[in-house]
Amino acid sequence: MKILIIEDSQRISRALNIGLSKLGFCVEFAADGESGLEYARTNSFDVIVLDIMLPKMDGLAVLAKLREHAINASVLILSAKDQVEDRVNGLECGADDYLVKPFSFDELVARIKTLARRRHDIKTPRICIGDLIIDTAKRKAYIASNDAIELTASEYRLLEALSLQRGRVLSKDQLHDCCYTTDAYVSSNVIEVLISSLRRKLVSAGCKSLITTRRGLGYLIE
Amino acid sequence: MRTIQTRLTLAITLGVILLLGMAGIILDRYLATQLQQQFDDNLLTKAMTLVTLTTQEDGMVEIGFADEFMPEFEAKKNSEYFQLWLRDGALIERSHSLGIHNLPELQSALNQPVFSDLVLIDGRPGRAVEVVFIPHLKDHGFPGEELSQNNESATKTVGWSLSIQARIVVAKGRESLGVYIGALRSILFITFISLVIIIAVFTWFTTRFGLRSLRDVSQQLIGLNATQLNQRFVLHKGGDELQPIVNQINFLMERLEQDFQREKRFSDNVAHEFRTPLAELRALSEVVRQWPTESLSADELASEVLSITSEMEVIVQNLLLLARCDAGSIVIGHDVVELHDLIDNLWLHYSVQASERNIELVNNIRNDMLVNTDKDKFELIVKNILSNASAYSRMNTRIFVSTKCIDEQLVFTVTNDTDGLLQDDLPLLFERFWRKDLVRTSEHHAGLGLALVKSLAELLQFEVSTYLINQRFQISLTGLDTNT
Repeated sequence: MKILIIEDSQRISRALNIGLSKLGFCVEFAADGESGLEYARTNSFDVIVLDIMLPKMDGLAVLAKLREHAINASVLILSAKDQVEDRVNGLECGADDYLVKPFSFDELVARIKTLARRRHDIKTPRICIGDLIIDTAKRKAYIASNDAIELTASEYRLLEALSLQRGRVLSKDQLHDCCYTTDAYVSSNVIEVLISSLRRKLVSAGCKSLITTRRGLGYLIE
Repeated sequence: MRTIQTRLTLAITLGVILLLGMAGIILDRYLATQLQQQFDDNLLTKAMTLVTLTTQEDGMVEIGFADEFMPEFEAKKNSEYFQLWLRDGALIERSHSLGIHNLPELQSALNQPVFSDLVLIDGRPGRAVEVVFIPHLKDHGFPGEELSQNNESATKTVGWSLSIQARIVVAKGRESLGVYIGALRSILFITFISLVIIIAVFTWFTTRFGLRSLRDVSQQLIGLNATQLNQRFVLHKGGDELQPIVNQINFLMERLEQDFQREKRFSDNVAHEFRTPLAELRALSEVVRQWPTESLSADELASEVLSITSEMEVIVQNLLLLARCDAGSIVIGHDVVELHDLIDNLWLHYSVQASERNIELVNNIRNDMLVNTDKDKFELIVKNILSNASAYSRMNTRIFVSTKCIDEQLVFTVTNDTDGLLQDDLPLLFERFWRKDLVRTSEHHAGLGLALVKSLAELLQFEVSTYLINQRFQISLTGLDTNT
């Protein structure tokens, strides 16, 4: 899952970067409204965490522009403004959720996951594909009644992206966006390597031919 | 409900009742008197007619009364009465209507008729007149007229006796007078009641019509709640007298809205100033707790915590100081401050940061300039002014600090070049938490500095003024007390 955090406090950005990355999220940052909007327009994000009082462009203006450009990423407003009217205003401007500072890191993560599930119309944190169970809350994958499959953060993100959009063909670029930040330096065939590694681990866990290759198009889970 | 409309109607109606009541009483008295006078005149005329019919001859008095000419004295119903005596009481004549009864004597003097109410023999209320007179000689004129001219010569000429006096009492029922007066009083009463009702109804509707604009404003006020401070009142239904009130209410509403917005801005800003560092502390702490070895080192965390708490401490101290200024609980000391040295010393706090942006301070204050004031408070004022000047001056510019004497008052001035400050910003500069940068990105300026400057300056009785000309900002303190 790919998250954009638009927040002018370097300390909060730093803490969120550490925490969310450790939890396996792919996190991008913007320190002001203009660059945040630019990031959101040029990349695909599942969730955008947005502050309101931002340099260069107000958070609500960013939100309005996002919706104007038909960017349908879920937006969670993270603001010090705690009045009811502020929250109502934020939600009415197109935000999907509103969290007041100071916030619990665990609550923020839970809300991000909920937004991501809602975005893909999934009601429970568990996605079942045959014998394979992907727990988006714990960010782990299982074969029924067996132990968890040992996956790297990138492999999990790849599997989660394909599972959340089950039945849809995702191109290598789309999968790349889901797994890595824009400034990450990775080789061009990293997606093939990850797919290969993921298939091998799934097969060894007892789950055969789950990921299908569509030549020239990309990959999907049927 | 005691509404203005009800009160006005009641008051006007009561006034009308009093006025009409008094007028009615006066009119009633006047008309009743007039009617009675007319009745009495009529009665007297009748008595005088009988007097003219009474004659004397050779000491004998007689009355030439004929029933057919005055049938009212013979009528069986509602008849009138008369009785004629000599002065000594000897009865000469009485009307047939009296039968054997007598009329009372009223004890009048000669030619001075006396009127009196009485009960007639048939039980009706009546009125009588008594006239004492000297009957005239048969076939001669009226003795009264001659007497009035010359009593003695008349006596000699006609030879009639002045010693013979007669008394006549004429009485008649006064029920017609009672009927007239009763009718008059009924008309007056009906007119009175009608007028009162008409005036009360008219007043009710007139005041209702006249107060409709007040009701309109009242309805607008009733419909107002705390979330509608942006609402303004309009007089839809005339009532120019209310316009000043409506204008004043609108003015106060505007003030209230502004104050409310300022309060909201203040609470928003307080929330931001405290919630953000708290969020930073909490986020960093939670991350370090969950991943103690893979996130921040203990040194890094301690350094961040120290930095955050220091920033919060400054805000809290400034807020407390402002609160104490507002409460007037600050004691003012009396010191002598060497102004030039004070500026140089305070600038040391900002010189390093300023030099990075090639900003320089030019201290034009005389070396021997001494100011009598509270040193600590004055230091805080100057420190905040210099802090703002160093932070918001344009790169590669100079900050000028000087004093001058205007109208025998010492003025302390700090001037610097800025970017982006507008004339409209000047009144907001002293607002708490106001920052030109609405997103409040600066970690060292919470927007309380100039608010503190103003509060402390007022405490020390300085006047603070600001000017902006061609992006050159100047802040002045007027009224410094100096010995030099």
